[in-house]
Amino acid sequence: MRFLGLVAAIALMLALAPLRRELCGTSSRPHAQVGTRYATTTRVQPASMRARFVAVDIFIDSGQSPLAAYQVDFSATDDGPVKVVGVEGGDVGPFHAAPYYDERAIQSERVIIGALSTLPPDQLPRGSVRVARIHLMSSSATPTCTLTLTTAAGADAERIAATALWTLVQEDTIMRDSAHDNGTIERK
Amino acid sequence: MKTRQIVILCSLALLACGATWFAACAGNARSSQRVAIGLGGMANAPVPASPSTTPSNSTTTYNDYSRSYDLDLGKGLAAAGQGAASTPPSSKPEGGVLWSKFGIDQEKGSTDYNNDGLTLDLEPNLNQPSAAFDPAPRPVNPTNTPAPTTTTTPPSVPMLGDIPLLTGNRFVARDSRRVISTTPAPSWAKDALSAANTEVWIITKPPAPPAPDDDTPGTGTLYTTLPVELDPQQKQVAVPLEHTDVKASIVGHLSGVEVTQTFHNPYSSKIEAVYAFPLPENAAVSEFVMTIGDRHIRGIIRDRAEAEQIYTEARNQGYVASLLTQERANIFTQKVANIEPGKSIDVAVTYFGPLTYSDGAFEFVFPMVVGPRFNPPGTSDGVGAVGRGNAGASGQSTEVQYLRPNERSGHDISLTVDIDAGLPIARVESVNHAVETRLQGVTGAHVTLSRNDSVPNKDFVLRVHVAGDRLQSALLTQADERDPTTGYFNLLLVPPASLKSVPRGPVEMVFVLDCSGSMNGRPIEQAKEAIERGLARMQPGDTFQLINFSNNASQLGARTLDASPQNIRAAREYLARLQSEGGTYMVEGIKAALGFPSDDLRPRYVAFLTDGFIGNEDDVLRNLYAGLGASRVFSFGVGSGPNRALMDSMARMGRGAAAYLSFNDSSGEVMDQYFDRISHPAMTHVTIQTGTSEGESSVCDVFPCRIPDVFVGRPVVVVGRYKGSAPTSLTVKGRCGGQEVSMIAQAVRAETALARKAIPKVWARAKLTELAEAAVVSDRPVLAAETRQTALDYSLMSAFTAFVAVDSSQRTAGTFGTTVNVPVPVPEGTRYGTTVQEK
Repeated sequence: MRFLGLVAAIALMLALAPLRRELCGTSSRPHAQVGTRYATTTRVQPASMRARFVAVDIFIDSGQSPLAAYQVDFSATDDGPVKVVGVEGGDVGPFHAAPYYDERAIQSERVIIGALSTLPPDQLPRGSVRVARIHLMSSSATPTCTLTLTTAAGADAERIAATALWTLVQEDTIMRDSAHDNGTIERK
Repeated sequence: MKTRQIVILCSLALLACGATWFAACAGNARSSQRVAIGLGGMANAPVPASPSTTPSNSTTTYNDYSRSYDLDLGKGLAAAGQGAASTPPSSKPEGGVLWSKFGIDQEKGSTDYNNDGLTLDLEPNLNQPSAAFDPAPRPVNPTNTPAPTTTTTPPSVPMLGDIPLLTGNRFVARDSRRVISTTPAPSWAKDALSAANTEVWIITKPPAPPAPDDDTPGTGTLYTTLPVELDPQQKQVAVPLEHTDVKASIVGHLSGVEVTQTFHNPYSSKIEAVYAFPLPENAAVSEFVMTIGDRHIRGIIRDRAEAEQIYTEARNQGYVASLLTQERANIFTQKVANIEPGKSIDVAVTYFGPLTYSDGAFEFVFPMVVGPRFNPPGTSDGVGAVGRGNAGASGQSTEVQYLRPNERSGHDISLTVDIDAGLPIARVESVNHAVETRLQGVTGAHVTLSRNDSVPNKDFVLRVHVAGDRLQSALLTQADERDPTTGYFNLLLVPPASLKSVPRGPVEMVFVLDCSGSMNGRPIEQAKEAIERGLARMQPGDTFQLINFSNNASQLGARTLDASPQNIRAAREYLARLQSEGGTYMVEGIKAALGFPSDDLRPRYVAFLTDGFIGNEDDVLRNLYAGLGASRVFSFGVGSGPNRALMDSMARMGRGAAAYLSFNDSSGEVMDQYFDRISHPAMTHVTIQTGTSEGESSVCDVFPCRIPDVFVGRPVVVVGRYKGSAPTSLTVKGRCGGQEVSMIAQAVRAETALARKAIPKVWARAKLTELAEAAVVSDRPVLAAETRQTALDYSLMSAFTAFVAVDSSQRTAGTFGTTVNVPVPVPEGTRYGTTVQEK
């Protein structure tokens, strides 16, 4: 009898779960979407009703050295899938154009970008400069990002000492990385 | 007590299940209602006048280009004394309006009770496997479908005429010559066939509402009419596409083109702009950048379904986003979401492609408008052509809206071409547009489209004539940046001059003329002139046939005719009588041209003259492939904006060549060039090997896989990969006139930035073309997977990939607004009334 009672209770909970979702409009699982005709080759992740779009700014600080070239490797993780949905250029200047990304790496949501300027040293940026903005779709507003500065070079094409950092941008409200003590920033 | 608790718990569980079901239903209802509100702008299908009053007049409003009306079948009880005196039923059929009535039985077939000129027949389903039907082509086939094999029909199945009443077979309603509707045979039809007093009614019905989908926005058309002082006859229609800017660079036989579309919201609320536009069929579309103000966001290439999902999510949340999808090899759809009132957003697309070379000139083509396509009944994945504001009227998966003849939009186009031919330029010729040309040195030129010719309603065709007879085979190589031990090559294969000295033998020439409504006017006249010239070029010993098709196919004779003066004269008279009207049932033309027995003494050359305005390209190619045999197919694209993707695919699959007959081309000259081409044997069985000195390198992944025959005056582009060090030359071998021939192409390393970028992309695009054409004749799933992966690896558009870009840094206020399709003009010379569907 006790066992039957348990079964009935479980049945009740299972039955009520979708009702709660319907009535409250919240879900512990993402809503499945209608399949598409192109779903034969790739399994498309169902879009969550809570999918968030966030932007991440990439800065490079070359100190007093003029920055002529860079390459960074960026990725982000979250509880759910994080998808790259755009790669934007940086501040007005030599790195303003949208940088090219590595076509193979992007397939695993890694953004490897780089840019090169042939401007004379006095026209190149120094100090901290925003070189790119990565647009993401994730399941939360604060995905965990990993950024690696692969290389930075000056006007003479020689490698220079520099650091790279990322900041999270949310609909015009910038949250500096210092606000997040999650230790996910990598600098080289 | 415990038992009572269990019973209560179980009852609660059941109640909860019921409540859940109820809530789900309620949710669906809410969802449906939301969609219904969003769709408020959509008009219902037109309801024609009652057939009992003016059925014959109503038929004049039918459009040749699609099923204009959504019809269904109903049944009723025949009144006494069946026939014209039969009165309409007292109660209207639910959900529709009675159109016409028939009595049907197995022996008499269908009897028109209204005497309104309509017929109702049972026919096999077009989508059934072709093995079920008679594959033999028939010269005249008014039903457009072969008869089914009746031997497999169980004797118990009722028949209407020759056709069994099987699931999937369809009732087809026609007026005197046009198909109005096809409708699956309803389950009660079996009873209707056996009951003498049952009438079958044709009922008009409004179109079914789209399936509820929370992610699909409501659609409607929002437009503004501005005063036009200068031309009161025309009204200017505000569209969200303001301007298209094209910047092309040509280096040798490669081109790189950046197309920037400026979308602008002239309305007072937010919009999503949707624009179907053409690009060259061989364009390797590899870059996509969305510009908002002075910010540039590079789009990401993704699996198409995934990209669509991201775009939909971003749009629904109010983010500015753009999506580029490919509907056909040469038709693309651009969507830009959340354009705020008064704001502009640019989307730039970059592509690379090889130029064609023909008879002394390189040809650069930029298509400006998608021609209105015909989709045979039963097609749903075609390309619909509807009047502005009639979204969804065609029932096709892709739809293009067209401006009416008295309308124009402010959308214009600017275009420049920078040319570095690598050879001395004799002259630069623009076929359809006024241009300003500035020569730069001996081998360069800068071409600008005239401001007075900026309406995008015809293909831009630029021919760069090189001086003298100096063109030689050119081989470009480019190392793979990811793996320097491999690389790519791009070979312009010029036929050996010795071919010109070998005369041709007798041939069997088949001229196939598209006489559909879209050819009405100048296109068919020009095509007929070309065939006239072709008939004049026939030689003693040749045989020929003349086939015309629209709703069905007809031909001059039951078999091919000797090219005697009498037969030529008869052909001219036959040709003169042909007129253009009806649909484009090109499959019938293909079957008729390739179906009759081949002549062992003469190679068969099929010259196909058409604008190619159809939406079922795959069906055409599938039939061409099946019936080709030893024939060679040469396609002639007629008009100001023919379907070049179809023309090129037909020629490639048919081992022939494509040619184009613009309005400003001489029909005679184009046909003369064709005859010059086939008047010498082609170089066949072409193979490519590395030069003798390169023991350490080899070629692989050569596309086209089956290298086409190389005709005099018509070089071909062959691309491939090499392994090992870059070859310094390639040896090309083949057969010509029974002799082995070979030639050596010396390699040049790609030096320009354009060539370095273009060569790998053009190779990958050629591979995608090969895979797409293989997929037409094979349903192997691996082809789709390989297409997708190749497109992702090389960041290329394909049927399985798409570009998406989202500005996630700022969100616009409110919902995503109204979807506005960008209407386009019909191509110059194409008649709106015979090609575009109204309602």
